[in-house]
Amino acid sequence: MRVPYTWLKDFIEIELTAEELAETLTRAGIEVDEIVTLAPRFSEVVVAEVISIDKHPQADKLFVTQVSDGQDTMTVVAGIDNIKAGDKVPLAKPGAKLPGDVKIKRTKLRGIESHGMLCSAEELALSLNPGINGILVLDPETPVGQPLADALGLNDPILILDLTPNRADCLGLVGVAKEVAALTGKRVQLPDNTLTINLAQAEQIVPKIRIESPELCARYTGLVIKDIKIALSPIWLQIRLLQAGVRPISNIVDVTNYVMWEWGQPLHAFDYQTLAAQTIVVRRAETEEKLVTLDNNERSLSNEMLVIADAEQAVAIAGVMGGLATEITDETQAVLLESAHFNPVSIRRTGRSLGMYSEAQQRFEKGVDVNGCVNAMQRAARLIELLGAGSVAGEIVDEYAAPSYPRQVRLRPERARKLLGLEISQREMTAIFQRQGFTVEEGTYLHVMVPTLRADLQEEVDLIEEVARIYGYDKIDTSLPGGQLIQGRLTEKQRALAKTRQLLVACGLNEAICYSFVSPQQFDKLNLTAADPLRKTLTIANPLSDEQSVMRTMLTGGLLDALVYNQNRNQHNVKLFELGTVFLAADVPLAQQPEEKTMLGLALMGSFPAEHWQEKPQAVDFYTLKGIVENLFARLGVTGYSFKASELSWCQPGQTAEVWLDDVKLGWLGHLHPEALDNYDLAQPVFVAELDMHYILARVQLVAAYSSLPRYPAVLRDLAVVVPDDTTAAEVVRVIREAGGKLVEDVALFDQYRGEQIPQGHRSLAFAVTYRDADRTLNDQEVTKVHQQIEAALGQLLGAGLRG
Amino acid sequence: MQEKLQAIATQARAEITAANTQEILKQVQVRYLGKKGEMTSLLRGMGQLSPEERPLIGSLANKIRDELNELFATRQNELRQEERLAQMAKQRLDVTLPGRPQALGYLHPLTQVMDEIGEIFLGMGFTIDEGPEVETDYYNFEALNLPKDHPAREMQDSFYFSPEMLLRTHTSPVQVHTMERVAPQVPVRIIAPGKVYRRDDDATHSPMFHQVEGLVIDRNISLADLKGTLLLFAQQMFGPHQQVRLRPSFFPFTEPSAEVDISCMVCAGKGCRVCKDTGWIEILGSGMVHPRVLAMSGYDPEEYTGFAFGMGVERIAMLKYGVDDLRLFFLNDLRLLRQFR
Repeated sequence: MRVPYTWLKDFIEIELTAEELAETLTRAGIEVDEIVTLAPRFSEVVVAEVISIDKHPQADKLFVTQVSDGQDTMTVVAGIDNIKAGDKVPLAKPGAKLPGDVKIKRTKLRGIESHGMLCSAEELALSLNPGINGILVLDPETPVGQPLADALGLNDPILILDLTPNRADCLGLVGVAKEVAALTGKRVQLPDNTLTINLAQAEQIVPKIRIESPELCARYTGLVIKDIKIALSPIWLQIRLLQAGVRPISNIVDVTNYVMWEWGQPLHAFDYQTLAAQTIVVRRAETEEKLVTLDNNERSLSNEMLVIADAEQAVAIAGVMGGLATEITDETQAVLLESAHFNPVSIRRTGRSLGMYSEAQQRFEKGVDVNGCVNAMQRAARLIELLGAGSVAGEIVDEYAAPSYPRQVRLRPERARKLLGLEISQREMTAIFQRQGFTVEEGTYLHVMVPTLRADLQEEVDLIEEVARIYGYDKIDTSLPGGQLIQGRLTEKQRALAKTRQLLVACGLNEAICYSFVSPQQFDKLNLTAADPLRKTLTIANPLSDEQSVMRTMLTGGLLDALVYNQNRNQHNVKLFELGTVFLAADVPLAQQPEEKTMLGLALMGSFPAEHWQEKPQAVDFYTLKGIVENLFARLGVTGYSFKASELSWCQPGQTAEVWLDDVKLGWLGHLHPEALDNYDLAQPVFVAELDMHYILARVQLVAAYSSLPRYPAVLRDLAVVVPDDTTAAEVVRVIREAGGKLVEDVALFDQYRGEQIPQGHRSLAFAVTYRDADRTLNDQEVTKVHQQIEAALGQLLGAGLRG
Repeated sequence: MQEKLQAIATQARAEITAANTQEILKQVQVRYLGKKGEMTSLLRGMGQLSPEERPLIGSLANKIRDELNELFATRQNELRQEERLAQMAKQRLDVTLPGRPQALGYLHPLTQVMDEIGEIFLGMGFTIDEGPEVETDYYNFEALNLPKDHPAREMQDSFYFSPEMLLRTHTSPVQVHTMERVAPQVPVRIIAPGKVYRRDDDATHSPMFHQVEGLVIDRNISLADLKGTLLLFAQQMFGPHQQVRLRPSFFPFTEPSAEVDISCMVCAGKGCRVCKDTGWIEILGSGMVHPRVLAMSGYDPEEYTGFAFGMGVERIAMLKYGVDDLRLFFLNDLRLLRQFR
């Protein structure tokens, strides 16, 4: 809402500067975004009065004028004679600067020296509507000699309000003035708009108005104005409209806009003669009913929409836009002024479905004061008469079947003091409401009569806010919540997640945060099969773009995008992780909320350590990734996990594993498939993993039970076995543990060998086996016996040969 | 015998001094003092001496042995020192060569900010709660006093899956979940960090961003408590000299509502580009929980009151680190991530 400071002063005395007023309003919750002006783009232009105008003796198309700036009379040569003696005009004196870098100098034109230039609105870059393109003729009362910018109020400050949706009352200057009254204690002075109609009953023109859809139109007032003389509005009115950001058109339309700005009540003017049977019917549109609106578009309406119709057809979409057929034209002789109250929800829906958003519509949507209709109507009628644009033809017709009245709201002063934590007297509270013109009955409680203009004040707590707001939030002290002392601490799960992050960072990974929505094409890029259940996504009905139109079901895509982003900026050694949510829909379309799972995603590429003068860079591989996962389990105290060779369409066969925790598959890791690598334009091998943190967190043991340190020495024996390639290391370890029984404390692989002395298709695996008994020192023979059992079992169960 | 002893001693002294490695010194020691050494062999002839001579020679021999042992020890120390010095001289490095880099990871700046916010509120007795990101219309709007067709719904343009299901536009639905779970018990003191989504995309808006919600419910909670809590938070987060300013505002789920400004950390309140010359920076929205919201979620508003607040994590991170484009946070550019230690 644009609030021209000078215009606002029509309604209330303001001692504050515009800046101070802005600060005061902002502190009260009426936020002033900025203060602007119409910013004149000229200088040294003053108001001059035309003394005389004569033809130039030497030139047909020039005129010689004598003008006065109040002190001196000077000769100015003009190119057009749309002016006459006595007119007030803008005079650009020698030395003046005009928009477009024009500098005015004293010049001789065909032998006559011109002391400046008389300007048109266009030459001054003013968006006024001067009617014809000639010298701008100012209002007769414009003071001669004043700088034009001051005379027109071009430097007047305009406060730009950023209103919260509950303060529709401030969408009119009168409402703003009431707010200022509450804040400064000054009184609002409203102009007297009472209409005096000096016409006999029989001479009055009274429109017929019928509301057929009272649920969408609570009130409709109409007034006929006759003897219409369509003309341009005076400059002062045009300037005020420009300050409000509204384009001046002609007197009647300008008045409706002017009054809307003052009273917050949108008005509409119909050409009365064009209304069939001079009748107004407020009704729902018929299905597919057509109406050509003011912007010359044919609109197809629906039964949900409210229209203003005459006896035959719709003539306006109520509150949204008028119709072309009943528009005011230069030939209009009488107008019907409409000042009505429409249902905000209906107006919003209609506006949305037609894609329209006018100033009037915005006000109806946010709610105008149903009891303000007549005031605005009277104000408009007075202004029209004042401008000589027409005269009132009869009484206002007011269809208002179920009037709204001021609400009585109870306020318990003690409740207010407690809720605010503020010691404020009952008298002070009463004064706050009275300053705004509310009636207050005082007793144990305050009973406040809230006018309908303030729709935001519905219940006690609203009044409490009003008290705090006007009294000043800064006068409220600070305190801390009392009551029972309670502990603030992280849950087990939150601590485990924090440790997960710490561990990954300690492993040199950087944390990424990717968007939760992805492109549906992502799954093709990743090389997922057509039937992959991960393709079952939630689709956003109104996405910003196709790229962000479905909810992610996996984290890998986002992490790969991040790798690509870094690769393209010459960052080739990148290790990333993300702890994020994936969205798994049980059914599409969605009947219930989807499952949201916290996943850990890992993505690695490049070398760690990278280039160093002393040693070769070490490229990441499958085992780098696996080591990170194992570290994580170790850090979180998760045991009982295993890795199983697996196949995933987005990972390279033979370098893909599932991660199991007992009988639950909780994730996977692998070498990104070359197909996917190509699709992403990634230049080096990438290793990715995803783990379901839900299962992991359930198994976290952050405080493991203490087990006493061993008291007896361990015996270490090495064991090298030759097994076929398809026998996994995990199987060998399992056999060693099972055959070795409880004396085997640890089995650690320390070498894998293929080559000489090893048959084709086989490999040698070397393990260090640690034997220990917690209760005594083991002797050599015992160990040898168990070791031999193991060797035998390996031979029997796996066909493994021993290697000396 | 005496002369012979003296002669051995003289010779041994010379050889000890001459020994230039620990190895040679050891040999010298064995040669003179060892079991088969010269001293030992010579003293074996003590039997032939007269009883008068024996103690004299014996005492002399002991004296010489003690002396030589000490000389050996001293010399050995000297040699060990020399050899260490020589060894260390060989290991001399150019300490200005680059060190071997260890992979260093960093937490995302938004995580760091959320952790810090969490830490501050944990210290004030808050716990951390959470809720789903795909919400129902009820939790995201209706239970927060935003019925259908409420004009304030347009303050937050939403991503929808269906008319009833959407991506949450704020973390406030967590308030409702928490209240429904614990009502009518008090006190409630939670914060809820998380992702939220709105249809906006420019330098200061991202379609996905993070908020931290706060909720306190108890008997006798007042607007002054809200102000005090947020003042404490601001001072912990941005420095001990921070001031807060509450400005009336409007949120359907709080009444009274307030925008909270903190003094500009760039200019210390003097006025600069960041605070648009006001000296204040808006960091969060807050208010007293609306009685209707309390009642809908199981608290009698006559008995209990509460306050709630919601802050944008990106906004706080931008202020704290001087980042000027919010979208930078979601590029995961290593060069950026590494700056936030």
